[in-house]
Amino acid sequence: MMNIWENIRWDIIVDYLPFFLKGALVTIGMSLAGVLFGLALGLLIGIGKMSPIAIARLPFIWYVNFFRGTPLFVQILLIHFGLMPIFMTPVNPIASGVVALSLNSAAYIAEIFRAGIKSIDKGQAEAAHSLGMNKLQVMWYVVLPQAFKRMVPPLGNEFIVLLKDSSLAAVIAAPELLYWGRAAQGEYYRVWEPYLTVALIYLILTLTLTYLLNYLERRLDTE
Amino acid sequence: MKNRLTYFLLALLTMGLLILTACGTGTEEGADEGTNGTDTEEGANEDAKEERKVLQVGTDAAFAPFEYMEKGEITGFDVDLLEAVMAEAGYEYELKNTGWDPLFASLDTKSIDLGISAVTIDEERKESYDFSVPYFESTHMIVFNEGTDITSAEDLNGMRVGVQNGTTGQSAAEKILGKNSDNISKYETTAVAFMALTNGDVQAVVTDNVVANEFVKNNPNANVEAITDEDNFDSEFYGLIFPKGSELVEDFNEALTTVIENGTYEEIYQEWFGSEVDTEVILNAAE
Amino acid sequence: MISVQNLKKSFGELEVLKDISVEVNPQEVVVVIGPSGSGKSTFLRCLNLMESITDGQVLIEGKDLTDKQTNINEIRTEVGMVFQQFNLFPHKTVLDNITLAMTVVRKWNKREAEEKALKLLEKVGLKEKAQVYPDSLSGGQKQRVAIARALGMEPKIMLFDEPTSALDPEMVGEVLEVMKQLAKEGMTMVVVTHEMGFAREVGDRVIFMDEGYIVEENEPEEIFGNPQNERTKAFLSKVL
Repeated sequence: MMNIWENIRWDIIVDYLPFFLKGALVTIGMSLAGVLFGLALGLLIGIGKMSPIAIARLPFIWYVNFFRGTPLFVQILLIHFGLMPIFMTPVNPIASGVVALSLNSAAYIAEIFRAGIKSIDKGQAEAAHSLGMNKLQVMWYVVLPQAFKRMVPPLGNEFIVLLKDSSLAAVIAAPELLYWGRAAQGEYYRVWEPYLTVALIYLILTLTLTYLLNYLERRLDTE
Repeated sequence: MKNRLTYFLLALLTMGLLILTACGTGTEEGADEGTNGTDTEEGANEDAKEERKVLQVGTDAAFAPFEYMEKGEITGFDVDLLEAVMAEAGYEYELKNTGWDPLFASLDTKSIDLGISAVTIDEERKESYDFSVPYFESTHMIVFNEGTDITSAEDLNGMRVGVQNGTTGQSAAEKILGKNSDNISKYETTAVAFMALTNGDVQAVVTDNVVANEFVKNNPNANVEAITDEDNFDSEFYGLIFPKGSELVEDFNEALTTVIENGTYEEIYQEWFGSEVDTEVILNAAE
Repeated sequence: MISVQNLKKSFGELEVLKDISVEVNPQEVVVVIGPSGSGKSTFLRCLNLMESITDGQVLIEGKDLTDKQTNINEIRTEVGMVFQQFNLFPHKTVLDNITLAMTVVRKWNKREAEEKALKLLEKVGLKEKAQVYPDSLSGGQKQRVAIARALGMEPKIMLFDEPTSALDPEMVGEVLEVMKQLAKEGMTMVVVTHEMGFAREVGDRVIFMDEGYIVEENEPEEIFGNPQNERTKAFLSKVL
């Protein structure tokens, strides 16, 4: 501990601060895009997993199994070096990061959606059906609005995990926050100045997110 | 108001945890003393064991053929050389695969006594650490896909170049492209940098000659070329790395020189690189 | 109006309805009674396809529910249902509970729907509760809103599935009162209930079900005064 705090070299932090801020923007951008695509894809997969036909459920079940059951680190490598070259050359590592985070978070979000929808009393859907609503209307007007309220806390948790997981994209040299932390470490052979600064920035980002989510939860509660 | 206080406390708690974690690496030193080295000398008597502590050695075993994992064991040129030097100096030791970044953090907190990980001796690092005399000469090479128009390091200008983060290969590339240039991609490992080369993410990779040759040898279908550039790339030397002010440096300089002079070094070099070595260059560089 | 022929319903191996045939005429109030597990709720739920039909035929105004060509959602707008557990939508106000299907399914415009909904709320005595959420209502009030919600679709038939079973005793009366009013206005109703007083007073016909069969079917005076079947007698001696 002495080693860390007594000889702290502020010049390293000052030197790299512009890069850290640039990296933080990339982190925010990748996470935000990952969440948005992940939400849309996760909803589809969650609904697919609830299909009454067993065969139709299978691909969705395995999608979730794969993305939840293997390290995101490996998924990023697979997507960047295996999947993305089909769509673009040269592959942009930030794009690969967004795709990996979207596909990965979709698996978790699908489960959150499924659990949220399942938690709504069957009587709700029955009542809506008895009034002549079709499946889509029942889902949209009756089940989802109630399920969404229950999904907010676990979704918030998933977003925070996603924000931090985005740091794994550093492996393919996506210039996000941790990438620049590592770069500073590589230049000065000093560990704590860059990494503690980076940790602090992550903390600020996640606390902001926590605050926004709490606000949203309170708003939904009073509705 | 109450909420703001909660956040503040939460922030404090998190920072506290960070600091605790940081301390954790510093206190491991004592805890590890009791364990016996895996590579201890058979002949050492009980008394000597009592007096001399088991030295903790760190490495990043992801840099074949210097140090890498083979069936769960750390192996490589550095590992064999370390064994010979430890035998010569008469120390017991335990070699740990710490990884690259933690290697330096462990030296900072003195939770390891030294590191051997193909670490290049340079002025920047000398500010924070002590080095032994050199034990290996290395230069840089540019690896690129066949057909790319590269004949010297100057040709890298305007190209996207991959390096392993925090290596001297990065410094060499930055000397040409500029520090933190957008055209330099820093990868966690050299293996990923080479994958990025194959993938077209980068047009060239700058790395040590040994690593470059290993890659070309192991990937005959990759269709890559490797060139060096003596005008732009300086030779560099690897050394054992110690915490600043370590008392072990003297002992190891002596042992290392003996091992190089008595022919043990040449045997190990021959075994790993399959070629002759000019030990004069290394011995001269020490002076 | 409703014609059921040889209706059978199984849940996996378990045969709940064995062979049900019954006719319900326009403006008739049919009350279904029987011990729990007799299949009376399942029978009711087959009438608007809340449960799929295993075998047999159900015709609603001549339309065959088992026919794949039949648009079940269209039929359900004609057949209102009231549940034991009310099943109001907790995220919507009382008014919105009633207008939701009116606007989404019937495609009536919002103002028209709200006017109709307010009239219905007045009818069930809850006009002043239009803007509150169901959470703040008592059980009896919830069930009256649920009835108003079903009536909002202007159905020709109303199905009641034990509408007072989940209520505290002091609230049963207010719900039965609304149902009586509805019967008086000439609504065709099928009511599954344990309220024998209601069956006797309001029912045009009483059906006694046991173990998946209709055991006895007659006018209330006959069923309650002079039951023919031993099982009917045994059941009535327990509940009366």
